[in-house]
Amino acid sequence: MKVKIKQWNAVASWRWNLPEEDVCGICQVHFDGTCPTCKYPGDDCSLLSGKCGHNFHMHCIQEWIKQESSKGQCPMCRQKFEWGSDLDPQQEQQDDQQPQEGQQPGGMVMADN
Amino acid sequence: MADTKWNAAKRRVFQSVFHTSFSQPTPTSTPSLGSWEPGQSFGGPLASTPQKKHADLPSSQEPRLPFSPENPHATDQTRFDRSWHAVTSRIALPPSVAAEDSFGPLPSPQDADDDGLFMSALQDILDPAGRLPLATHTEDILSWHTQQVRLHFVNHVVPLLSICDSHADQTQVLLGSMRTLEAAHRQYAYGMSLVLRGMERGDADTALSKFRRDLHAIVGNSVSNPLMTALKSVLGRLMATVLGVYGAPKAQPRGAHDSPEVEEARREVLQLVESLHKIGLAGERFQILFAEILNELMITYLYKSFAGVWEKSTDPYAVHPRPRCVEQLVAWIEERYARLAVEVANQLGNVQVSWTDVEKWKEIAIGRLAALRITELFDIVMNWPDSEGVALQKRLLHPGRSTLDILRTYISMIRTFQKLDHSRVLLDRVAYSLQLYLCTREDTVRIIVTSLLSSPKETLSEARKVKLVELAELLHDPNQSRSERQDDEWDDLSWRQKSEDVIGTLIGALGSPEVFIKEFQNIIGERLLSDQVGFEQEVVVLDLLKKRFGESLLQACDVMIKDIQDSKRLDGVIHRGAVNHPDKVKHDWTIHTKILSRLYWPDMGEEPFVVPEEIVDMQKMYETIFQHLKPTRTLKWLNHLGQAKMELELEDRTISEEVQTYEAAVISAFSEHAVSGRSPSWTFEDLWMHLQMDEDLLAAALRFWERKQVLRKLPNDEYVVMERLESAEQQLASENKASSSRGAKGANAAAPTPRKAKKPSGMSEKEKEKRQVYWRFIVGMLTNSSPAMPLGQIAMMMKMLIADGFPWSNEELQEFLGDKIADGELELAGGKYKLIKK
Repeated sequence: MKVKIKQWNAVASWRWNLPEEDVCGICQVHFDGTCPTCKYPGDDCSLLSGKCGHNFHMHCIQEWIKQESSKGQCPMCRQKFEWGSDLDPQQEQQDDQQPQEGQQPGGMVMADN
Repeated sequence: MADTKWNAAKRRVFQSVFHTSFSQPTPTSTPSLGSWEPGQSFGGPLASTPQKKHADLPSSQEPRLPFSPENPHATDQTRFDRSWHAVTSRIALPPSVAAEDSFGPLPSPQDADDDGLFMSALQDILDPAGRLPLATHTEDILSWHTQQVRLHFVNHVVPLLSICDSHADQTQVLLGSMRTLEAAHRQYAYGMSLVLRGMERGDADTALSKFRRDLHAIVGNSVSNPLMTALKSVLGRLMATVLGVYGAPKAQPRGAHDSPEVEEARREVLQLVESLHKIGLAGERFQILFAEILNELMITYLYKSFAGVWEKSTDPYAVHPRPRCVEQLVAWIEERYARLAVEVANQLGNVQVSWTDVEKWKEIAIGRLAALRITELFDIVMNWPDSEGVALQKRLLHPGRSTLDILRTYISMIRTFQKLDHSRVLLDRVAYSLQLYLCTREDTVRIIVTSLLSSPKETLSEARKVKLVELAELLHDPNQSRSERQDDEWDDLSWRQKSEDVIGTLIGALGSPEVFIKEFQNIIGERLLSDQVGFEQEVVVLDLLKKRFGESLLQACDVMIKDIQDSKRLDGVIHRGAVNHPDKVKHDWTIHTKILSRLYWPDMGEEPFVVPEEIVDMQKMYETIFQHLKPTRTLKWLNHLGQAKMELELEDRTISEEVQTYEAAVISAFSEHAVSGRSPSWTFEDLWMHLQMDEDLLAAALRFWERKQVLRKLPNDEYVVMERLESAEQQLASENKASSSRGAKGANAAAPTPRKAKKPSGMSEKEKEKRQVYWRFIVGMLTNSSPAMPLGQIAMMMKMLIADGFPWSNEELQEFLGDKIADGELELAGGKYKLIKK
């Protein structure tokens, strides 16, 4: 008997390369979910990693940094929040989207105080 | 003196003959015919009066009238007596019973000769005090006449009336009685009119009305029941025609002329009432009768016109739309009912119909219409589909009825009630028990959702038996979807009527949004992962649910649909990448993947197993390219989901099948395991080890291929490929003959097993997650609330604390806690669970 697989419709699920149970420190939602303002996870609602090792939904940390009171610090460890390199959504080639404003590293590395 | 004696003697004679109760002597004469014809018969008490005496009297006594005898007292008295006689004999009533319609002819004009004499006699009698002051025995001619009328009526008219009553035909009864009464009236009125001639105008009017009143009282009181019945039936029939109760022209435009027969009937009614009024039958009893008839006709009209006729409002754009039946009813009250009442009242003269009466009639009529509708409600509901008149609970809401049946009934109820009452108050009341019951059925929501998602093309097929195809039809009905889709119709007040909104009601009434959404998610989840192309209908239903429950609750479904769309695009990208990749796989690129956002899909379970090598290669390549495109993400294969298109080349045949992935993996394992010269075979155990597949799934897959006659189970529990069909059949037959029918039985028994993969038994991620949550709860309880707790208490606390509900039975919980004891995290002492201190 010769078996030929003409087509294989597979199903898979995706995850961010993070521990499964981790939640965003700001909105307390699963990383694989969305921040409160987004509807679709994944491409539309990417993550941002700080050099301090803390990860957030990009939109969450952007909102946080915009606030005066944040002083540009990571909400978790109070260190200066700087763009990490290991989980950089900027590198992700979004197959149909232009990089969004505010994602530039320059914009994200906070002023020196 | 002699005169008095004579008078006394006469009185005695008179009284002995006539037994009258007159208090005053009736001078000279007795009531008699004013003029009688020879041969005319006499009846009643007067019959015995000697004819001759009467005949003689006028001629012998009248000439003496003008003379005044010597005694003035005696003269006045005599003169009064004589005048009395002259007048009474003139107005005396005939005793005829010969003809129903007549009591003898009225006095003919020839009597006018004696008019002068009569008038003067009348004057004497009417004004004895002025004209004959000395006459001591005088009498009131009016009361005498009234009295004689009363007697006459009782003695002659009443017997005639009772003869009339005995007629079989109601009309005859009525007409006969009326003719009789009219004739009697004519007689009575004639005598009266003679008397009145001699009176002053004012006095005459007073006397006349008094006489009328008396007469009407007599007539009214003596009306017999048969006569009233006759009157009721005749009048009722005429009025029914006038009011158009039976077969009335339905949509009679306002102001249109009535048909000739209606006009005729109206004329007859008014004539009848007029004559009744004339003869004194239009008294209180008649008015009551008339009111009763009107009342009954209103009810009859309501039932004839509206029972079982349900129409929607004519003017859907009215601010307060009234059903057409109400409009029609109000018009009928105004134009016919009230009109007739007013006309009759005008005939009666003493009754006024005011506008408030008309308003009141309208209210009553509408109230009755409502009552009618209420009684109908039950019929309407019960009549579905073929009423046996048993209550809803008994007939429908029992375990013997399928949920589908009940839902169908509910849908027809929604439709019916929408017709009857736009406000849906009634529906809510009636359908309440049905809703409650449906909520207890587990498959209710599933049926609705599947039905909504079913294709309208399935209408005529078997699908009708298992799905409410009606719902899908409604969903695709252009009228229905128009109102669903157009959001800019906010100011359209008639929106309620446009769509019966069966679907909306069903969704709203049955189960919480969460239940519905969960079910919907499960079903579209299955569909999205199937090889179905295009999901228009799913999107339509999703939009519908969004409208009802709000976007946010259905966000997951949006994500699911987007996942599938994104996957398709990404699949194309990866496909191109794979074909051009330097480490290109040696096989044809046959893999397509749907990549799911794991938190947004219903629990899919996890059943890992070993997929065919070529697929593993391709999956690896797929992952590589995916990682390249999305470097911060990882793929996880859910191998138990998905389908495969397979082509099996056997020695004598080629089989093409679309199968589940696990079925494909199993058959692939056979081809990989081929040993030259022999048909590939596996034992269950070996295959299980090889594929690392769940036993149930593996068994299901093997059964599937057996049924397809690709695999065959040997008596030694080995599965072998049937390379040639005939030889296999022969072999099978010989096996059957030789030993047992085990093999065949096995194959047959396998046939009805559902092909669908059963719920995977392995613990899914979600399940694990849930267990972790529960464990945290239990640890928390045992730390904070009480250090040791029995099973029952833990179960109870869990049920109270877990917001989504705690689905486990006590046994399941016990098993779970047992696991924890085995893990060394918990101990059981004295029936109570305790945390082990670390």
